[in-house]
Amino acid sequence: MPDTTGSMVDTQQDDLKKLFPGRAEQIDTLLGLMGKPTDPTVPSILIYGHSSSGKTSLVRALMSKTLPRKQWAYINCIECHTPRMIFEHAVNEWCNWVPSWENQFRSIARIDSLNDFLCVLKEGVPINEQATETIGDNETRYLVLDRAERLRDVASTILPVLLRLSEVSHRNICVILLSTIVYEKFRTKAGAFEPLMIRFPEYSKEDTLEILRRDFSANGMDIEVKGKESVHLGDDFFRSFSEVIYSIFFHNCKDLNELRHLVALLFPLFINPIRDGRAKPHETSKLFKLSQPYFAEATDKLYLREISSSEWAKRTSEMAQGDIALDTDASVVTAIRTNSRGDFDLPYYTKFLLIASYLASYNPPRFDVRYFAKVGEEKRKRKRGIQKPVHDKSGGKMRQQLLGPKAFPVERMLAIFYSIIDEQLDDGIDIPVQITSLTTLRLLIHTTKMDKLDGAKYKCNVSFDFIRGVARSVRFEIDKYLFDFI
Amino acid sequence: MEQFDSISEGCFLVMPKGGTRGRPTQKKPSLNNISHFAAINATNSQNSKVKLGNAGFQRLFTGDETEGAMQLRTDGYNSSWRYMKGVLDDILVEMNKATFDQIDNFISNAHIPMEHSAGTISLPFHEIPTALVFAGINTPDHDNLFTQIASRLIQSSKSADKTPNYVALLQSRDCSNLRFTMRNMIEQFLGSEVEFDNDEEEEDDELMDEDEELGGSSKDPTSQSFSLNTTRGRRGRLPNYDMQILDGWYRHVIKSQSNSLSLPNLVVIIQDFESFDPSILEDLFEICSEYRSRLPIVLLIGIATSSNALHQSLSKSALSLLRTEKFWLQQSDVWFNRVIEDLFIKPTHTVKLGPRPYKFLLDHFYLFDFSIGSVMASLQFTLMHHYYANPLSIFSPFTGSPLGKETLMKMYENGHVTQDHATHIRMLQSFRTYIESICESKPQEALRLLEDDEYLIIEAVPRFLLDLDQYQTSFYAAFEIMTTVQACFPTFAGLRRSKRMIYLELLESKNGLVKSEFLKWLVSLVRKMSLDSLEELLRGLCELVDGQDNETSPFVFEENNTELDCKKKLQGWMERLGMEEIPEDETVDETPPTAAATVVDEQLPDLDQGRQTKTAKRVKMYIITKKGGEPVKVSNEIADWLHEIFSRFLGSFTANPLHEIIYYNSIKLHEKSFTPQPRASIQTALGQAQHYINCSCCNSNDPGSIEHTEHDTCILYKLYLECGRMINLYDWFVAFGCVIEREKGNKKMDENEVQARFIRSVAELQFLGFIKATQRKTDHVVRLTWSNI
Repeated sequence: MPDTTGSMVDTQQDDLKKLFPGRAEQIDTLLGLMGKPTDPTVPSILIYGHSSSGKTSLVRALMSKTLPRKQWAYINCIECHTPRMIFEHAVNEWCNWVPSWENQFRSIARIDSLNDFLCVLKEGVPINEQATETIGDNETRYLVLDRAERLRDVASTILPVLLRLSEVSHRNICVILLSTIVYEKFRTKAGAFEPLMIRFPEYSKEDTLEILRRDFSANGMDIEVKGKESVHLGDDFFRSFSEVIYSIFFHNCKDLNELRHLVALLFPLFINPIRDGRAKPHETSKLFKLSQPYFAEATDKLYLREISSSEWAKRTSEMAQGDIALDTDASVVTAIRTNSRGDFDLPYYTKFLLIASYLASYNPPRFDVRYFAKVGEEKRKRKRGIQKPVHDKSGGKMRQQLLGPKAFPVERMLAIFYSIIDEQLDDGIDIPVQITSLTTLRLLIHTTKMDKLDGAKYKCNVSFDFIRGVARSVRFEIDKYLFDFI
Repeated sequence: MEQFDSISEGCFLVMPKGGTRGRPTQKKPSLNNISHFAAINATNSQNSKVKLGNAGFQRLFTGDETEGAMQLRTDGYNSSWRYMKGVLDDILVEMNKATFDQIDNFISNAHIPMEHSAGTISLPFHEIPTALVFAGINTPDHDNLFTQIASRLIQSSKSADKTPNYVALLQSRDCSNLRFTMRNMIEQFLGSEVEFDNDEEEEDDELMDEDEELGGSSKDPTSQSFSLNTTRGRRGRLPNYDMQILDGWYRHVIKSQSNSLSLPNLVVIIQDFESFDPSILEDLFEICSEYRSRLPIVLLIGIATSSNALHQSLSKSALSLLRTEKFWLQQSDVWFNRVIEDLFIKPTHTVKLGPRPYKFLLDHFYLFDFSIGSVMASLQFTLMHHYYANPLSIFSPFTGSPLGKETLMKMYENGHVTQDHATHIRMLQSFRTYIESICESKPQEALRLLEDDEYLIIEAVPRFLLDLDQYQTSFYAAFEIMTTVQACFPTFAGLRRSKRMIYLELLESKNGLVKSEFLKWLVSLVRKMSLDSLEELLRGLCELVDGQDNETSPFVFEENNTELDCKKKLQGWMERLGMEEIPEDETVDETPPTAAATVVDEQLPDLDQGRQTKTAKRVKMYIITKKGGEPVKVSNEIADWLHEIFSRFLGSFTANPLHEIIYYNSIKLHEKSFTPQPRASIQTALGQAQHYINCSCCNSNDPGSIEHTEHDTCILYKLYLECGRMINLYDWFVAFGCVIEREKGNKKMDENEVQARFIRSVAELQFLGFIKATQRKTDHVVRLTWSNI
């Protein structure tokens, strides 16, 4: 008997290792820790590593391959943001119970607190009148908590208990925490049982390429070439492509999923020359040269999601269909840019309010008189004030422009506002309303508490380019009023 | 958190006189309140029943107006507001229809995999299809827009061929944390299909709140034992913010409607992205992405500013969960311009705005808020004021055409129109100017208008109203012609003016546009037009004229007046310029050369008549355009004609008698209601209380003096004005005491009373924000206003 199970485990192990390249060591460790179903296990394991290093998918695959469904529960701590949700979901999964329309969306048991949870573990869950599901009597039950760092915010007592759950409940339960951060950040003042830690290291180049390859369809793909018969692109072709991508990006981007994202989006561009018949599949360097300009201009936008995948896909598929000749200068990025109409408009005085708050945020208050007083004598002084930044230009490390916006009292901003607009304005309700409206648009940020009615302070939350555009639209020369700007 | 700590902390117990009563029960005070308000209402107006029955309409002429006339005004208000509201809403819907359709399309295709994705590589992220809807900066207006989008999406699901949608509309005010957000979303999806036992849930919530605060296990022992007893017995329903509910419900929905091919989409609308807490949204996106394989969720995010807001507030990991596409709704100024055109420039049968309210509306929209809502409110307010307060509003047209003779006769016979109305008409400024203008030429007529009520109401008023209507119609035509001409000179910066500004100028100036520089310039430019642009102009004008219905066309300025019949004139000119209607293909080939040739022959007889080759013709044409000739003549004629039309029809509306009935021109109430000046009013109230209290005793002319008869707070405020930045409470108290002691003459006042009144007033000033407590100096308060002056 032990032999057969052993061989079965072995094949499973091999499958898993194939599925997860570069994770053989971790799989061995985990399976070793789990042992046979009835073996006692360590109370808790923390698996940590960078994002997209395969933690979640590996653990889920491993659990579902080696254990019956009832033996393990997977919980995402973002979704389950209260203790009740965590416990009920866990028990539901352990009992193979799914809340649905038919059972009136009831959980198998109502568990409001940690205490209830322990009671349920000890006494078992009544499934129907006859049977009671006991948890962790013989075979180990597993509780997988993904995004475990969120547990720290749920309640302070939960994490220490979960870390030694088997001890507290006298049941055979193993808690597996998955997180991107190290255990040091989990420690609390009161101290807690330390879990066993398994680190998922970064993938090597070989592993990365192997994983990238798996996105590519297994049989390769056939693409049509203009005027000729179709060409088969095999693994080798894709491998050379992903190698190119890897060599470009691996310095800046270790995140595997980001790499996959880029590969998926850039691949259609890469094979476009083959479709056109301008290059042959084996001419990798030529293909690369042809598509490089697009890579260069678009990757940061793609990486930062300034261009979304659907916008990109639309554009590239248009290109692939030959609507746009590839050699024209109309680049993908500019095309998408021009498609997206530019900025929003603001009412006239609101623009001035924004300009005034920008000036208040970036100019030191002591120069206000110099810039905004309408006394004739000040002119002489103002000239001096403008000359000064010329000297400062080289060494101004502490320039406000580099330091970011400063909070300003609202009265100061209003004084600047009334000085930069030409007309006389009544002291109506409109201006305060517009300040609030700018705050809801997050163009201004309220820095004092809302209940402090007097001496409210704001910060201006727009970039220089933006404010320059606004100033230009109302013909206000903002450069003249800014102190120490380049 | 700074607590509100009152300077005047204290407690005054006033013992009731008639012995002690038991504590009133919960219900009693509310009952008392109702009867109390009813009593106030009853005392306020003797005819409160009538008042409430007519939505606040009251009989004017100090109550002498007949019930019928009042009813007429009520109906007039209702129908014209209904009409106006309809126009406003229609424009809004029509304007955004294209974008709405795009959004519809996007959502129904969101979860259908793209066709050409077969060749590409699958993306690693479970991206949620997301529509970014840019809706302009005025967030209060968005309620309306997004409700429309939501209802369209639900509606479209009812038609058979489309993907059904379930919609949840989330607003930041309901989503202060993740739990409320989830609950809100789930409840909206489930709608009324699942009945939650509300009491139980609320109880649960409270329990949960405690849980979170106390950290699960540290609950108080009694409640724990209580829950121990209950939990094991029953299977608790899932908390109503659990995503599994949605999951289970969705499986049920699919099962119950297995016949349809496409699965219903779940659309989550996030209306005001900027006001949401980004961390809540990040979690929400994460959860949605987690369930993406089972629930086809589509996000629709309303953004007021630009997509920068999205990138600024969301983290990279959250952004990578979204597959965004952008949609732009029309900016509200497009809507506003259309409204101005449709309601004011076009001849509609509603009340129109005079120069000052119009300017107010314009300024307020463009200078301050871009708000659709406030424009609507302002217009409704206009109508209300007109129909509520102006007895002559019974003559305002609200049935689609100006009041005819018969209607007025009927009204007169029914007694709706009385002597008061006639008197009121005679008091109108426009009527008086009219009388003055005709008293020289037709003294009889003037006398009759002044003396004969019946004649005035039945004969003259319909005539005036008809004239007004005619004025509007021809004005619109002339205005359209003007804008067409204007469009021919796009390069002249001086002529580049929007319709709304031209209209403003027209309303404001005394003569309308007749003597404006703008029109002079326009006409003189027409004289200098080249042949090509002249043709373009004529074509534009033709399109304009042809676009209208023949019968009701406003371009037939006056019947039986060939001078001004646009159509014929235009055709005549076009023929002379050798332009024929394009559809008549055959004639196009033949007539223009001959026409041109004859023209050439007539005009330039000195040229060799025998030469008829093509080059010769071309040379001739060139000479014509160079030296002038027929085109110059034509352009001069057109210019004269335009001048004629403009000066006849673009005059000011004030030239028409009784224009006050249609043009609303009062601004004070608007200003007071829509741009209140709270600070000024508070200061007046405190500094010159007699304006508000209306009492005679403290009506002194010297604003500096402090009368003891004034309200305590006013006295304290006036003393406050004399203080510096820090106010010593004791000094203030003594000064206050000195003033109010004069009340009693020579008698000494009770110290306690003075103190109580002082403290009450100080509390009031603190509440109004004039002073605040300070730690810097004992027994001092800080003055918060006007301290630097």
